[in-house]
Amino acid sequence: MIAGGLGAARGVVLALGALAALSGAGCRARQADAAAYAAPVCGVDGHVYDDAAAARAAHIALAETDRCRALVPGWAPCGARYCDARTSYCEIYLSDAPEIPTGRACRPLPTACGSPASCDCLAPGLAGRPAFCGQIVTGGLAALHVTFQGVKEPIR
Amino acid sequence: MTSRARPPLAFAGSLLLAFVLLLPARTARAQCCPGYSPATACAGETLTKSRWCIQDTAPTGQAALPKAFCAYGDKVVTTLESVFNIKAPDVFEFELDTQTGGAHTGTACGHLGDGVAYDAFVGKAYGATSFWGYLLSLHEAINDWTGMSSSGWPTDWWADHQSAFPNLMDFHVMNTIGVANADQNLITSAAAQKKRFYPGGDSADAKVVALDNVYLAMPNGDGYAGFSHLFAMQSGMGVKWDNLGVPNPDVKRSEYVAAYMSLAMGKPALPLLQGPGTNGGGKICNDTPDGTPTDKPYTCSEDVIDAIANAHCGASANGKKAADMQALRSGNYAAVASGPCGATCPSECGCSANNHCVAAWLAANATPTGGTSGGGTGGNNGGSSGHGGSTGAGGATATGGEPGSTGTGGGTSGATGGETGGVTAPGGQTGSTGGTTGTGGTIAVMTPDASLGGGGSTGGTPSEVMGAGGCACNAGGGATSSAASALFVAAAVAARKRRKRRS
Repeated sequence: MIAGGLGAARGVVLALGALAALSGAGCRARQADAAAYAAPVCGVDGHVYDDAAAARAAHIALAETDRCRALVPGWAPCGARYCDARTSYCEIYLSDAPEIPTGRACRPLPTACGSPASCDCLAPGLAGRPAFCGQIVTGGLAALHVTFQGVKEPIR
Repeated sequence: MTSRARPPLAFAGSLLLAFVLLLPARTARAQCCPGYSPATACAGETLTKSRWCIQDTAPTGQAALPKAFCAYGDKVVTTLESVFNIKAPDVFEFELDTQTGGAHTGTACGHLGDGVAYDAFVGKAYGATSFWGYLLSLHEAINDWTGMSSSGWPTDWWADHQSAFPNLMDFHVMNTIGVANADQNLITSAAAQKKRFYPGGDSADAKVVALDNVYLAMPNGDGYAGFSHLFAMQSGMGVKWDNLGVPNPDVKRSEYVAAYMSLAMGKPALPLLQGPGTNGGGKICNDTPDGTPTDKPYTCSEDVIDAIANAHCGASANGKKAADMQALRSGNYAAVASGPCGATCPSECGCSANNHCVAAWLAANATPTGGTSGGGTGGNNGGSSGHGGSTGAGGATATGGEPGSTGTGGGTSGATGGETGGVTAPGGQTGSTGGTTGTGGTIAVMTPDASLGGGGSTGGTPSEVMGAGGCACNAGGGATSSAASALFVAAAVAARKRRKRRS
């Protein structure tokens, strides 16, 4: 587990991490860059795991909603997964019904976008589809999201 | 120790202590979620319904929120409280998020509220500044209120990814607030949002247009009041869509919603839902696939909708007996006993020929209140849609309605009062003299069509002698174009016979 959680739980985890770091034993903070992680995921317990395998090993299911609020530098939370800000963005299809979760998925950035990517470089790919593009703060390289409102999520 | 009056100073001290003790709780309620700070742009504003909170990690800091949004939040809450008939249980927290992107209902710490990406509040879209900020903060608030009214709204047309109801309300609420504040930018936002869903728009959706047609067809064209009535009836009867015993989506679930929509309209909503109506509105309840392979298309039945509406009326008229309410709430509307007309028959219902409290558009006969003459003026104009003549007060000169469409309206009959119109007949003819002992008129019910014709006038005029009667239960439009002829003639003949007998 990297760090994270909600509210008090997050505070406890961070505090324990800091204590452990001071004592030179136990968990260590991961390096604060995207390359440090394979594919972080968000667990239903609100904690961020290195990848899906780590969550499985901990017997924790992945959270489809925005449970994880811990910053993972260079990675943008996008449903259960995190998107690598260098290579992908988070595509969001807003849902208005609790029965239907908001669709979130990491999509590859066009190669023309470069780094850091901007919303301008995504516009051609949207081909006039109505979307709101903005930034997601990660604590490192900012990521992009493209949010669709009032549009049916395409079946993939 | 004997009791004695508390010294003023001690009393004041107690008050101060109580205030100090209560202060933390009051402050807690006013605080933003952890990791969020109150928007300083709103510091000078007196906000009673909402607060704006910016996540501390926002790259633009406090500059993320333009001041114009402060008052907007309160107005959004006030409007939604009115539309949904549900008071916000707490101050509504609008959050500007840095990490989630998009938008969502709820807040970071369980407060009542919603969250929108922090950079939605700057920049332009569709020619309006802060378009996405206005839209998304409102849109998610609508979702909050919709959820408070009931869970389980039909996911194939009311709310899903392409949601007819919240998308409809977005542009109406934005426009209302924009007009009230003389905020041209917000009015532009509203117009842009509406254009998106109308034919030719980038998110064109016949279902949004269909609900807009319903909105406009609400009594007096007041969609807010109409939908507010819908929510009030539904919640007042304790109806929760998820308790109907059917999946979502499902035909019965939609028929229930359509029934309450019709009750709010005072006439069947199904033709407007199914379409094609004005501006191509429709595709709801008419066997149109919703794009989700697992959702089976279906066609709603007006007969079932009528029966559900009658069950609502019957249960109310019977004093909301437990068995009736249980049946209505569980989807077993057919088991609800019919109820009598009278004080307990709610305003959205009317009286049948058998003196049963039924849906207004099915009402055929007023409670006979007697009158010395029956008959009345049939509707003037059948109109292209709508309902039959409304207040069918008994009257003397039964003037038939003028030609209209295929109305089934009947006019006020004379002698026996309150006959049911109901014959699909050619347009009205000039009626003859009303009866003398008529006991009131009836309601004329026209078969509504999809258009929005205003219909004719009210269905009756006062008689020459106190013609009372009439069921004042349907204020719908189009009146008594057709059956007026046959019924009025019959009434007149009967009246003449009675006069002869008396003389």
